[in-house]
Amino acid sequence: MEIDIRDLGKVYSSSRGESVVALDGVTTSIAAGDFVSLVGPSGCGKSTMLDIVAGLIPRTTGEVLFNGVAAPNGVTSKGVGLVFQKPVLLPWRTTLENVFLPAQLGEDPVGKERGLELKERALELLDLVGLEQFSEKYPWELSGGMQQRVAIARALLLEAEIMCLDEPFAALDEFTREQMHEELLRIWKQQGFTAIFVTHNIFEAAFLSNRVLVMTPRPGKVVAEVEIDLPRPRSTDIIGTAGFTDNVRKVREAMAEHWSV
Amino acid sequence: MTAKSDITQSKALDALDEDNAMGRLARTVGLQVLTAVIVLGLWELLTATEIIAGYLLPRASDVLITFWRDVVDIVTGGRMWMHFYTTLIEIVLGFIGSVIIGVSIGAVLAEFKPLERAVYPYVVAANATPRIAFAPLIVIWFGFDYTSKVVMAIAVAAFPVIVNTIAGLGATDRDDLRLMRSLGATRLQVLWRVRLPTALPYLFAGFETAMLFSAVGAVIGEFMGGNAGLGYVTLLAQELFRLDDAFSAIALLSIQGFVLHRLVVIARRRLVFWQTDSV
Repeated sequence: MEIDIRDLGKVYSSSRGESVVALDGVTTSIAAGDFVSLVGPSGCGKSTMLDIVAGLIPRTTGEVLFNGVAAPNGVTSKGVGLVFQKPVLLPWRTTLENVFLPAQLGEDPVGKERGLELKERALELLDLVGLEQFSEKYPWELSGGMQQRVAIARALLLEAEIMCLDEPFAALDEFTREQMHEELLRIWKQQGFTAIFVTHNIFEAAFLSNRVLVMTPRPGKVVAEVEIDLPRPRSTDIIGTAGFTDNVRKVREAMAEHWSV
Repeated sequence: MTAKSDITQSKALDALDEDNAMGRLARTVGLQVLTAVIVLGLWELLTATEIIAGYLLPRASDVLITFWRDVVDIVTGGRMWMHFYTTLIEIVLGFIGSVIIGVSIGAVLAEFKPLERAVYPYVVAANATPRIAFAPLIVIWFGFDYTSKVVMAIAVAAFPVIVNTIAGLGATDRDDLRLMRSLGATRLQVLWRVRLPTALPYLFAGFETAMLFSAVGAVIGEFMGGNAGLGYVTLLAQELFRLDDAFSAIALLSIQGFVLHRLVVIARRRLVFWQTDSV
């Protein structure tokens, strides 16, 4: 799904009446099936922007259009899947039941027939993320990387066309994270969703994305857009190649030009 | 896949753990039996030699003989069975009443925050009041039979349930709520799918305390008057200076409390299977 973001702004007012500009006039558009990362230091508004696109928090100014249709303000949609930094799995539910959770929620939960279809899809998704043998296990029996795979499968259950990922691998160790990067690209290619990926890791952003939006804080805004010209499919083998290093440097320079501690 | 080998390895470790655990358990039980033997032996020594006078502490062997007589009487459905049964019913009814009343009040207070703010200080104050002070009033209101004992038990045992229900329903993880909101969950769905399961461990912590407190309340109730129950037997034994009878009844109360509390623990382990603990 194509996403158009126009003059998006978010102002928080503190209890003492001061207002804090978390996000200031962001305009960009993301093509259907694109993979875009938001990078920047803490407080640059990248998570805020993601939450607004996902409908988790209302925007103060501007608008968000999905395929040219304005999205209602602060309302979540089943077409947008979310993956958080923590897997947020319910420990009393098995892996399969966790993936199936979205089907059981909302004003009109799915009927019996659709429910069976979605059970099938949940199993297929577990297969997709390589956890078909763990469907009856509980989250606390899985490793951190496996838990995050379950979270990705859950976000895909209702065939989300947009996937919002908020530092999903930040809590994983380096080796697991590299594996997850390849996994995510494989899943993205297979499912064809539009991905918005928030991270403060420049390497991660360069490895995954077609385009990196560089953001800076106070007020949070997008200061540069960097095209990543690396061929796909990408594997971890490209890390360390001249092409990869070039792209990382482009992002870093864009950041350095607009921001210093 | 690395994940699979992780699982196999952890299974092997589990098996190893189990072997160790069995050995440890046997040793622990052995030490516990030894403790009982030493304590009872010392008790017998001090009383048989009259270092502690018989009217203060009966001989351990006498208590064991009386206890055995009472157990036989209970098993064969004698008078002791009636007393045993009476107290058991009081404790169980007190517990059930505490759970129903405690969860209801706790849930209402947790759901309506303004009400909680208005009422909670009084709940805390009531909890701090020695409930036994109400004993004479409870007798006036409910008489000398069963009812007053059960009411006393509830008065003592409902509070931990109320407090834990409020804590449990408020313990939901912020990230869980964020997830549920992102999935468009209704308020009822959030309650049913997340908040109640999250509250369950807290509820059971309350239930465990409630079972023990219910036993306390029931015995206090029997001290207030009446003519049945193990608390009443203890009181009667005191009047007749039958200290071995008193000790036997207290031992029976202890066993009741232990078994009933254990049942709650077992239920918790079944229902709250995702939380491990050492109890």
